[in-house]
Amino acid sequence: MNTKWVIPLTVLLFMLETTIVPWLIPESLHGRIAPHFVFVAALYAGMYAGRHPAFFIGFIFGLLQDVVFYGHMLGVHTLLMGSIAYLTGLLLEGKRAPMLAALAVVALGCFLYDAAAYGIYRVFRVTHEPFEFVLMHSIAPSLFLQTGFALAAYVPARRLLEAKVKKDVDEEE
Amino acid sequence: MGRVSELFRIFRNRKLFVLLIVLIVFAAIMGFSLGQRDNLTWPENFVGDSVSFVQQWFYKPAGYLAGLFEDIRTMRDIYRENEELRNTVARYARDRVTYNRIELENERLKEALAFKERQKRMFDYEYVIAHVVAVSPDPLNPTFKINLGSTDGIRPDMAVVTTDGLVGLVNRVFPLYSTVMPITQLNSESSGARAISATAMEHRESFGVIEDYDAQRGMLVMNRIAESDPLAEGDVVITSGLGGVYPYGLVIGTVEKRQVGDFGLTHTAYVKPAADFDKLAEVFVVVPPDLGEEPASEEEAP
Repeated sequence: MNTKWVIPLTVLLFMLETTIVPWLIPESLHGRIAPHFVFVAALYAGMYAGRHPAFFIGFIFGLLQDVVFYGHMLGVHTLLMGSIAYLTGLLLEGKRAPMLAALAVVALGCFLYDAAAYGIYRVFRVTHEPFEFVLMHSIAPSLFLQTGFALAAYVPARRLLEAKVKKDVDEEE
Repeated sequence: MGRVSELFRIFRNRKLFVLLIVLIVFAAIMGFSLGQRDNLTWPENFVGDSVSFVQQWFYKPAGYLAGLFEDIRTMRDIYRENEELRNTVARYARDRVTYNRIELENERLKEALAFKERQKRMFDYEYVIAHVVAVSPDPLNPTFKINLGSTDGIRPDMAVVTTDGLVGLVNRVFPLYSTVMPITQLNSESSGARAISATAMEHRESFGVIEDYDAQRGMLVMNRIAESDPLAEGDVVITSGLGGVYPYGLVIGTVEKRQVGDFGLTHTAYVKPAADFDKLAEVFVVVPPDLGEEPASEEEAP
């Protein structure tokens, strides 16, 4: 495994979450569970590769999602994915967070992401549901999916992303 | 003066300054992209179309596979469904005879009344089949993409239906693909508010406007119903065709509840959508007949 696989794998995750995962979500949970796998990847990049790669992945793939699914407006995911991934990198870069801490960070990041997206949509009057309803209806169930995915992706993500840091350190020495 | 220099000292912190600029730029982008846009810029077109081109290789096979498992699980229901379909076909054959007779009679009467060519073609709505290629992963912006675009004559705000009923409206149009916003996102408060004028299959004289969706009840809100309106619970709500954009008779849903509206002057009905918004594979875009009235944006272009 090499770091050159990071971008193709993230593209694959983007394709997965927009095409295949919607078919796997049971009908009773339609509109309630939403996959944010690319965002989880950006958070992992923040934890194990650094704030700049994290910002890059979050910004580019947020922009991709904004343009491809241009509905209400542009820029929501670009701003949120970029900034939250950067913030994660800023706080946890090089800390080598253990698994439980990583899962907690992913859960917190996803909550922040969904809540802030709701806030922006609310400010622009795109949605008018109360926050308590959205929290229970879509944010909370989505958190479980994201944390589950983060658990499954923890080992490969860490191996893939930390390789770069290790190599850099080796080169410096 | 002291306060101004203090302000400058804050901005000397470069990170804070960059953050501020970024926030302002994004607020501007969001505000600018919020409203109606007939033409997208070329980077948007290029990215949107090329990504959707790849997405279609994933979505359809996944749908087939999911359908296969679904079929195995619902094997028992298929027998019953087959029975129902036979009944429907029998009814269809009977209706077809009546329809042919009425259509011929209608043609004859139009000739007799000397309808103009334009009036005759007014209801020649075309149903163009489109395949869904991807679904948005944002529950508050749940658009899906279809493989028809502006080169196929698709324009914003065209109605999108399935065999069950109205699903959504075409939202943003790329050259080869377009995004569709489900009618569950109708919102009278937003800047790009859309309203669908509706009537009932059982009571042709009733009238109301569907312009909101109540996510907590999972129902569309039909407003501005007159107090004397005969609309009753259980009625099938269809588009009235009065706006000219959506054809007459698209099924929207059934009335679950009717009550006095917010201001007490008119009534409000809650309508359960007929269409299923989940796991869509094929949809139809309703293209209104071209009556020589080009959209304003094209007239401006030389």
